[in-house]
Amino acid sequence: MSIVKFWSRTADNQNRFEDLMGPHIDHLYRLSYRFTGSREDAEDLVQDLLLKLYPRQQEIESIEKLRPWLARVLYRLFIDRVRQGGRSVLSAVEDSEAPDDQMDQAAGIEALVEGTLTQERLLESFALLNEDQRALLALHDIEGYTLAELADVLDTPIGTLKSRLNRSRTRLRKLLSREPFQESRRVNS
Amino acid sequence: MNCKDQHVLFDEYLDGELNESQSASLTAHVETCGTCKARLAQHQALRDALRQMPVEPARSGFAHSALRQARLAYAAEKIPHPQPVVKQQPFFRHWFAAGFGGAMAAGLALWAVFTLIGPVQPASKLPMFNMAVLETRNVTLAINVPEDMDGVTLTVELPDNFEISGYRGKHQLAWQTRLKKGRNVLTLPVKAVGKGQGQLVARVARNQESKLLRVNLQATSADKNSLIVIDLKA
Repeated sequence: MSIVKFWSRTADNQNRFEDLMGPHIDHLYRLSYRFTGSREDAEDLVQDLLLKLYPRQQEIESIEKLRPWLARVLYRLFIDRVRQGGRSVLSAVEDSEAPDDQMDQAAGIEALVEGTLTQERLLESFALLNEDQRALLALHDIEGYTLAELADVLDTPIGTLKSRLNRSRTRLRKLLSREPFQESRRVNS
Repeated sequence: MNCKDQHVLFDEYLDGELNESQSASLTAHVETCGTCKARLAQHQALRDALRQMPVEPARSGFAHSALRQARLAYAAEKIPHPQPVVKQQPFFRHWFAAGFGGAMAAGLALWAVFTLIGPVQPASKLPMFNMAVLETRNVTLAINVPEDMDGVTLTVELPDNFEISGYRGKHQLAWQTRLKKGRNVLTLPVKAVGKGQGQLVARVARNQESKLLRVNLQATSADKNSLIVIDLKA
């Protein structure tokens, strides 16, 4: 192949890749931000995803529903990073093994219903979930992926997903029901 | 079913996962039970609040930049592995000095070959060059061409925390030049303006042809001398 043809082909690939991926970048960034909780980490994750996918353009072109497929690759990339970072995704899930005491959770949720729960408090509690719980709630409860889509994205049976989602929500409700540190300080001052 | 039986179905109810009969039963119960109605509202409120959690926007131009980085990284992996340089021919430095007029700090120079032939270099194994913040060091590119070439466009892109000394705030420079047969040497006074890591991306283009090279830069401490060499084969 001549150099001219090589670079011409490269330019075509570049345009095709950008056409394919461009419409999904915002969504992928938003998902990444939900997963990671910071702009820098979210951008880094999306960049890593694009680096990995660039050589796979033909495969991407053949995918019928690209968005859930991209979410799947992004999620796996995120989980791989977490594991490489030495943090266990699964161990923290067990944090919610305590009985689901609905009354214990009521205080935080009532505040939510009444509109007195601050967004900051919700963000803090969400950030305290483990990575797997955050990712699951981000995909399902926030971004609206259906259980059927998630079963494919996460390669997990729907029954298992329901259990994990339930544990994640229970954990979040418990975190929301905790007495915020700021309120304790206010009482003491 | 009692209230506790209903509670465990709330999430599936909101997900639309219950069958028609279960859904109708739960709806009817909630209409007559204030406690369950309030609890269902709590579940819904949590979901609404989650959806309203803000997302800090990505930095301006992120999508474009990320796509470009993916393209450059892919292209860079097509070029061969750097090899040690033997000597420099300084004529090109004169042209460059006229263009940039900067004082050249002695020190850093990078080396690589610009050709489509040879082993592929993984992105993770690109050479890394360390600098101290606010330090200016010379990055020297040696461009080998088999014959005289007119109308060559040279482009250098730097990460946000590096700039060409004398070109404050500019992270991309491009200019047209003529290359002579043999080795053409271009020295860039690169200044680290902030901590962090990034890549210097150099491109030589003529007509439809283009060659790319990237090198990792990190603003930390000094490093050994090296030199970038670019071979343009006919």
